[in-house]
Amino acid sequence: MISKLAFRYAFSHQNRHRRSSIRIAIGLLFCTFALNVVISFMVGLQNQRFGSIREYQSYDAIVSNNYGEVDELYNLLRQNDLKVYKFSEVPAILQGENNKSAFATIRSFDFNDVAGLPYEVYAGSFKRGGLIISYNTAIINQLQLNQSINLTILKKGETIPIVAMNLDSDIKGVYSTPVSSFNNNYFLMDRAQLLKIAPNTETKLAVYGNLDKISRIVGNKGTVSTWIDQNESLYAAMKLEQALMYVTLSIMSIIVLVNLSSSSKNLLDLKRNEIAMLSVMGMKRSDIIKIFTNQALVISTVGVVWGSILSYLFLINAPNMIGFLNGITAGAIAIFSVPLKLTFSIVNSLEIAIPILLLTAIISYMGSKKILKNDGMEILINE
Amino acid sequence: MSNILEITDLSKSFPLPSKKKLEILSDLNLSIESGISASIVGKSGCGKSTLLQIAASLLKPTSGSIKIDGKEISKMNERELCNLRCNKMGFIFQSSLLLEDFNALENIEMPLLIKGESKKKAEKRALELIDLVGLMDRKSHRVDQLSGGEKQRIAIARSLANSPRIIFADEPTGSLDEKNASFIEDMLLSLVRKEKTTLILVTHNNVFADKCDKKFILTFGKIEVPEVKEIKTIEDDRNDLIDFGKKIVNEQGSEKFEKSNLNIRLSSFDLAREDD
Repeated sequence: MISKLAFRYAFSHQNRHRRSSIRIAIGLLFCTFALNVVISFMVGLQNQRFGSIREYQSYDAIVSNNYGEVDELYNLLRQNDLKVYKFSEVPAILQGENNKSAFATIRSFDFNDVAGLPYEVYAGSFKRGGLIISYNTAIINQLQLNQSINLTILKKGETIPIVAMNLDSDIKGVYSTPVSSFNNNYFLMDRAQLLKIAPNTETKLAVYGNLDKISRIVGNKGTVSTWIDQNESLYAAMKLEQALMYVTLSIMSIIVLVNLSSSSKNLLDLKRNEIAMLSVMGMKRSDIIKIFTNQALVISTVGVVWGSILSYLFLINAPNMIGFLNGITAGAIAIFSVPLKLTFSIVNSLEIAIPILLLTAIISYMGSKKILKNDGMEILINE
Repeated sequence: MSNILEITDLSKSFPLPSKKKLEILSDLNLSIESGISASIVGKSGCGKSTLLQIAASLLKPTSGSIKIDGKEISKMNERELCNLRCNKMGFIFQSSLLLEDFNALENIEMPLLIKGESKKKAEKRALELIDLVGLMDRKSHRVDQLSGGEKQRIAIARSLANSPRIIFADEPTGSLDEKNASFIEDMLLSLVRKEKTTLILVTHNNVFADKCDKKFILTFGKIEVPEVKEIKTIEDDRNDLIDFGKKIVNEQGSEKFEKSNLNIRLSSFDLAREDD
């Protein structure tokens, strides 16, 4: 009977305050929808940014062998079905014919492996014997394909830490990636060519895959530096941004919950007469409290569940909708052109839903308990 | 006949903002026998409703003892009070106080469902009662679709639903017009007699109060003049009416008696007897 009465007091056509129940449920629906979508967008943006950095700049992990050769680790990782590439890096200064100079790091890898790496050729090609610069560097420094440049490599010396070495080279290609920090700070070169110029340069392994798996395979045979280690300050800033986002959402939620609390109290006040009459007719206080707590739970569950369903439907269709909006605005609004991967997270959804359900239950429990503190007649007199 | 309600040394006062107390009832004693209808009358504000609410366990007294069916209610815990209310008591208020989210039939069923009866059994009993109060055609109507008199008839049916031993009625016809009030009064009294239930009635209406088996007057917080009336049976009422009829026949001739309303009243009594 309790659940039947709870449903009757929630959405039944005979419930005089059905509109209030529906209003509360709709409010919760939009609140849940908004929170789910905002969280998904923020997580999507962060993942997109980190995803690009991991793919183009820092890989999932960089493995180095402090004892020199990395071949054993290279083979070991490949045997475990991981994407592994050998690479070396040295700092360098580039000077063009117009005397403009750019400081960057030369990242070298085996050009035979370039098909597996994500660097897109904008002009020219990845050829041995030349330097590949980014499109940004080419524009900023007014450099052109096949232009001769002077390259100063700062290599490890035998008696002093750094030895500068000048050599002339040609620009053989222009690459591009979506990560501007990488574009501005890296030149690309074939590894064999770099090792010829700077034979003492350390060779490391770039690995794509699960960090735990990589660490487990490498064990104590080498050092694993994860993408988080390599982008520590950026990662900390992003985490701070995420925390602030949650603070903002929490403030939003508090505003929603204050309104929800007041609506639930109002709804309960509208039912004062019924509460008193049920008590006068001999219904146990605990049963009356259960009825009105369940009523609040029914209303908030309907709102939260529909809000979650709506946000799920929105998020799975968001790429199409964003693509459509990008099309009709002809790419004028930058946010529409960001390739976001939006996902509906059940965990996030539960994190939103559970506090809402708990709060409504607590408010109704406390409210009906407070009303029932008085004798049946006192409730009716106060009415 | 045993007492269904026994009130001893009952006092009730309400605190005032000036830290003084407003004493409504003071050392009041009252006993009501089982199966009768008793009315309590008095001036406005004399504490009639307060007395009824205390007797019905809806308000706590400041001091004193209230026994219903020999059991002290002030010592009962919440569970015992709930059991008492849903098994032995029925309530009728001035403003009917029906559950507005339920239809007429569901309102009558509610005390039975609270008591733990099955839906089927509750519905059967509710249908019987709604028929008795003449509102079968309104059983599916929402409370706000009923008139004041109809609401009060539903409230009467609801108060009888759990076959209570005692019904507390607080000005049940107070908000109705004279015609409706008279109809409801007769219906209530006839139903409590039929169901052999005790009725304790608080009213301003002396005509209604006089229809009850016993009448008590509440003055200055006490039952001061318990006007002892002989408890009448239907047979007594009939004999009185016959004597009265004979008197008219002697004075004005039989023809006038035939045509008088009295004849109609006698017929009504015969019908009531057949019902019993």
